[in-house]
Amino acid sequence: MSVHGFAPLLEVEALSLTRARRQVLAVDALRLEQARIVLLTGANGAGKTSLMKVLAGLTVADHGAFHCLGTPMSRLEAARFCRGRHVYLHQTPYMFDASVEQNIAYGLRVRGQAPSERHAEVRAALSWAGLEALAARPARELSLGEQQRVALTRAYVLAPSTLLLDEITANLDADNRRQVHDMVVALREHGTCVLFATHDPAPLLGRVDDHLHLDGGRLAVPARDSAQVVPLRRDDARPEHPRRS
Amino acid sequence: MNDIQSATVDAFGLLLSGDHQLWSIVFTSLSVSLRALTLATPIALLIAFALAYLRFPGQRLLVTLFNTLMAVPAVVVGLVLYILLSAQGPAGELRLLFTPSAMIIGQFLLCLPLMVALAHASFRAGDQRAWESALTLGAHPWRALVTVIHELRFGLLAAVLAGFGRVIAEVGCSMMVGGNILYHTRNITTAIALETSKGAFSSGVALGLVLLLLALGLNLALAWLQGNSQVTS
Repeated sequence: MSVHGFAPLLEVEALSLTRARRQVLAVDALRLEQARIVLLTGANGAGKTSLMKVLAGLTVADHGAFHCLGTPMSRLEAARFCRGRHVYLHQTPYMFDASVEQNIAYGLRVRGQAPSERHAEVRAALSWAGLEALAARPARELSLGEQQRVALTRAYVLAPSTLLLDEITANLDADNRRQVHDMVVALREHGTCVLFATHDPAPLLGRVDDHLHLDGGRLAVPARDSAQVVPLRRDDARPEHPRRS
Repeated sequence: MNDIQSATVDAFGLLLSGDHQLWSIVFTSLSVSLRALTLATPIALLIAFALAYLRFPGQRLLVTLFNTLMAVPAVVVGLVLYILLSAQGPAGELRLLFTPSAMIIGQFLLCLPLMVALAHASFRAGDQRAWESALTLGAHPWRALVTVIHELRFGLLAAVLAGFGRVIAEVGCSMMVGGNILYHTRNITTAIALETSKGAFSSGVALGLVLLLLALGLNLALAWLQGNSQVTS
């Protein structure tokens, strides 16, 4: 059980992934818990994207013992379980060939939600992200920073248990980066676990709960002086996401 | 030169007069080719998607096989199908030889490899993040596939149109397994071959014009769809 008294969102042990005869991941143990921002660092090719895609259920690991919300699952079951609950965001967001509003509604639509409810939730999410003025715009015409905010809102509206952010601020200017960081912190306030991969952890230090470092596919907690680890927040201080309440 | 001119003028006359025999041939062509295309399209898209996105043994071999089959002459497909469907053949009991169904099977076999190869290229060139984004947002794999097809619709539509071009213009397979029977299995291309052999050039030119107009109409439709998308996207 976690320190919060809930089962961890995901626990995985002895995780390994091999591609083209090269071991990409060899993780002894990893645990994701509610309402935390976990920094993930590592050099290019260290396995950050591969790890995130496994945790998102987009790639099935070759080996590994998975526990999702405390329930043991096979690798395939865990991948199915994680898809849609653990939302992965690419470094450069993919925008569907549709408006901002339709992009944000996508996850709700594929879940079969009624149009009236869906519309209300999308409007609330647009308001949360300050994107109301862009709602009708074709998503692909937006700037990269705006697209990244749309991608975050598209995830937020689903109230995911985990967000896996793959260097999403790498190509953003300082202002957009700050806006994205604020949104990430707000998502933690709603109970989401955020795994944030980046090459530039400095702006986030002071706002993260944990720091993990990947080196050659192996996971290590870095030395204490390389990252500032903030004490866990109290659950009862956290507002509920509209879809969770 | 004068022969071609007079044949063309006569051809327009035939087309505009609503000649029953000529329009029956056009209808047979469209009916057979569209049914073959309707059968082949979902299968080709599924195979192409699997070849582009999934990982399984023999994948590269299959891609090579489909690329090779693209170049198989229609008459060879017709010959193989003729042997299979003839009275002494393994599928002779089905009594499909010289029927529109046999032509549909033949055209299905002709357009499938071409559509798989072109759709595979389109899937490979497409952005894999569309598939991953759909899945991670909770779409079932089938629903995610629909999303990817929608995102790549212009490239895939071009593959389908190329398949249509392959079957509407083929003559060898239809002639062998259809038998060129008037009001039954005579289509545009087999009729052109027959009319030309009889020296009835005006009918042949009229049917050729219909083929060209069909190709033009399809390309205009595709161009309109693409232009429309650029305006709205």
